[in-house]
Amino acid sequence: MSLIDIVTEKLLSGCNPFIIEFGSSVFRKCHTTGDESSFKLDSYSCSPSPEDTSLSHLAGKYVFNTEMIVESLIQLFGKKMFFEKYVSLIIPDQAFNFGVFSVPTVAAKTGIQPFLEREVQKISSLKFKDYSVKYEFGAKSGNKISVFYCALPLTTLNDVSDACAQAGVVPVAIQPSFVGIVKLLKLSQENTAHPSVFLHFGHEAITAGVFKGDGLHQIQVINIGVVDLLNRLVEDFNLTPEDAAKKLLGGLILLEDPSSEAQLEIPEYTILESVFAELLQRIYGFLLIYSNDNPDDAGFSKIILSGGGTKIKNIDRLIASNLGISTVFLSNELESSVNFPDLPEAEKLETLAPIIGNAMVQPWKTGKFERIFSA
Amino acid sequence: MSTSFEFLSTEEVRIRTPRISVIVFLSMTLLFGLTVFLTRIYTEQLQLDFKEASQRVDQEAMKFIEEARTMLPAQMVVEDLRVITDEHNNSIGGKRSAWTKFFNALEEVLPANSFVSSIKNASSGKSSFAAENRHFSLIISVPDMETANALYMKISNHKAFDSLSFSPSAAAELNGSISIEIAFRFREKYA
Repeated sequence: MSLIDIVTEKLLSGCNPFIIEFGSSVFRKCHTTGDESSFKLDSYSCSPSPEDTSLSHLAGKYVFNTEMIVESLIQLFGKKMFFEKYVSLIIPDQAFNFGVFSVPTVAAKTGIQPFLEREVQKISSLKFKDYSVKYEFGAKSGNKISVFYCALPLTTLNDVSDACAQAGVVPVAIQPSFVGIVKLLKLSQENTAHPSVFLHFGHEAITAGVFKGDGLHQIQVINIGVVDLLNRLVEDFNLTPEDAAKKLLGGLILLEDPSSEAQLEIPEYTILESVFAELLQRIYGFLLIYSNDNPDDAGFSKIILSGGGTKIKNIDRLIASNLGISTVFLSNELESSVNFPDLPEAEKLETLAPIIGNAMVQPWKTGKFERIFSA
Repeated sequence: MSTSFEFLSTEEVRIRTPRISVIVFLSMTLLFGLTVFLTRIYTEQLQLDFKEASQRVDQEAMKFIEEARTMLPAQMVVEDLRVITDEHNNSIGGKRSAWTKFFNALEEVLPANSFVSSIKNASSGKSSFAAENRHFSLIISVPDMETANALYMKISNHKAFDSLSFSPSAAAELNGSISIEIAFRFREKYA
């Protein structure tokens, strides 16, 4: 390492940058202190993301208005900054293209570039060179080893970098959202024979994953989110987005017993039923595929919910009732192991999970390494 | 700690200098350079002024010296004046004057803690003298007899004092001192 690299490394290991989460509905910024056992949020602010912003990697859905995003970033800090701020960025999972494949163990040693190229281009419209691809080796099975990859389109990365540069924000780390969530889940996981499932119910998409105490086993993004429910309410009830959000996240749409007949009498539910149904089918499909690929891991211990969608009352009951798996919220799961005092009003651990997890991972400190997927 | 899913490459991670620091640095550099430049100009100007002032002072000094020279009297005039002054001084006293020789010789023999309280003409007994008078009668006060004896020894050994007569005065021991009357002939060729 050159002298500059050594000095940079030293300065970064000692610094405590801000953490910014690029959300589809809201940008969050916080500054944290403490470690895994006791954690403190020193400062927190949020600003609405520009309308129609979408970081989805799906063709035709990506919308990134750099000027407005720069304004939202500046708004996070309250004023135009004269001094550049160092931040750790979190990009939502829908911006990434996830996948897993197996390669012969020998190939893993020589290089997996050709396999990566084939896998990434198999399901995406862009060429391999238009992505920034990161991967991690998973568990060995016989003479094969699984590889989990995460591909971010370079246009997204460049747009985010440009927006940061214009806002006077200097990234020291860029990580996907699920890294923080997995970090938090690792704090809670007891040693159980069966894996657990996490669902991060975001604005644009749901990140579904299977994990055990040793790490993540599988991850997938389901492109249904809170925005789909809101759009349905806006269209059918002719509401403004704000009123639709109040109704969805503040009102009672789902009953404690989703299977009761009274559920069908809620007009909002009848409109949203199809969206909920598709959502549940996609989650079920994910779990089914995992179970088929991993017959040793038959049965799931529980489903842990996080994300802004957890503000929908009784969403846990809906999922538990339809999938037949015990469903809990992340805050309930972690309350015995980690103390998270003084969270901001209107926020809870579920909505801040990526940002708090990222603060615990501290990805700007490159001196240590943390595995995400199980080995 | 970092993870496998870090999308910011190591080369892009660097501590950057805030823009304001660069602006402040450049401004300070510019200010410093300007200050150095202006100080240099000012110093050069001061040096020029000093040089001019020095030259002016030198010229004034030369002018003053010239004026002073013109004010000095001619050497011949000064010499003539010196001769006249010497002649005048010699006529009223000086090293060749008898009285000067007399007091110089007396100073040689008088003890430090004594004083002459009276000088008379030994011939007339009065305090008036003609130019050729050489007989003196002195009354000298000394603190004690030892000093008186020392005085006697010295004065009697001095060739300039001849025909010495030495007698304590009748009004002796005034305020603890002794008055001695001494009469002698002063021989100026031995002074």
